Amino acid sequence: MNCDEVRPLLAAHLDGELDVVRDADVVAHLNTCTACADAALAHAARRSLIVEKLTRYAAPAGLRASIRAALPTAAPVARAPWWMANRQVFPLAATFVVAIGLGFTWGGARARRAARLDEVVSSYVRSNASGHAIDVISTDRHTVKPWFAGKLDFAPPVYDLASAGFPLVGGRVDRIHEQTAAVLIYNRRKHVIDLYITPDAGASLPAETTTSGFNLVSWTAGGQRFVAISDLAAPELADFARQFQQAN
Amino acid sequence: MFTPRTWPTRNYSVAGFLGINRPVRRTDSDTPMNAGALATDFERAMLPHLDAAFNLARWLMRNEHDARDCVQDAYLRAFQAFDRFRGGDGKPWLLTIVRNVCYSRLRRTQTIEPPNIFDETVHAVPDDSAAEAERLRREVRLELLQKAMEELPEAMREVIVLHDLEQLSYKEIAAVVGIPIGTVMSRLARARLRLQQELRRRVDATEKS
Repeated sequence: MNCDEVRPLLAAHLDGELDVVRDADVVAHLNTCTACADAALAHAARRSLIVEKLTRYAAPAGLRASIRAALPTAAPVARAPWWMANRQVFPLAATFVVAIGLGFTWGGARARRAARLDEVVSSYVRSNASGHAIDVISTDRHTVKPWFAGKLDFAPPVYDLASAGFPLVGGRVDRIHEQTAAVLIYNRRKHVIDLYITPDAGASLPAETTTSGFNLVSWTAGGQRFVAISDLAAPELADFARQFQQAN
Repeated sequence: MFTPRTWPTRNYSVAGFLGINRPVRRTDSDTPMNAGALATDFERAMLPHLDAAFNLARWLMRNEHDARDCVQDAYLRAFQAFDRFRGGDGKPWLLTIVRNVCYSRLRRTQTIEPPNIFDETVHAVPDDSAAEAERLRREVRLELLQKAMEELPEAMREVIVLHDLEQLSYKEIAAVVGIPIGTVMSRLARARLRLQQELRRRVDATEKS
């Protein structure tokens, strides 16, 4: 080691902060170099001047007591795990989950209802367009009702509403939503009314809707689901539904 | 150290649900045993270093009143952060907080000289011999030494306090001040020399007058 290397290490040497190897090198140099040895002595004198003479302040009386007095009321900000720290969002999150669940349930039911009504509409359109609207042509309900007997596992009510302006013209069997449905066909002037009757009354359908320009009226009675569809104006179709329900 | 937290009674109001009226800060009365035990741990670990904390604050702030405030503030902060204390020697940990409190208070009232403006060529010592240092040491007047120390830049003052008065190792000082160990070594050497120069200047000035 030369003087330039040793000088910066003198303080660390005197403070005992040098590693053994470098400290030995510094000592070896100081034994041979009087200039560095004098610098080391000067630094040692400075150091002891500070250590011996510089005031080390002691905490004033009362500071300890006032710190202790302040401590217990200053509760530490406990670092809770994130799921505790964010507990406020839990009710909110739960609400979202429930809301989404409800949304799916409601949306699903809505979609199923819509699909059901769409099937009624397409069935109505198809049968009228194909000219295959009526399997049994009869204005006599005593002809139509027995005709259904061998074709259905339920007995739909059949009424002739000619006195109310809705003459019965016939019946047919159709498939609606994977169920066999009895279809009664009524006339109103030049308009055709199809009344779809299925055995399950469980599924809820909107009472009155308009789909693809057709009006639909739905109700349940005697454990059966009735859906009347027509290109009639809505009030007239509602009148038909009322007449049928009264006859029922 | 995590203390299980007890929550206030569940609040199912809309405001409580949305967290608008957050529960008030827990006071000691909620969990007397926890807070009390924690305070005891804290006191056992940190109160023995009260003199060290005050000494550092006193030298940095240069007056007793501010030093008192800083130490009080630092102890509160240390208590609140006590769960981050990883055991071992609490002294460097506490002094780091004290130092931060002091500096933020100093920054509010004055500007602090950046630590690296000291140039040894500017402050060259006329006589840096062992004889001169020894003479000063024998004849020192305490009030002049006091004044010289207070006039040192904070960066130099703090390494002298931390090492020569509080006996922290270079490594601990490096952690407290946030500088490399090599910088601690050179800064401490320059700080001692600078203090001697300032002292000599004052001794000469009083002798002349």
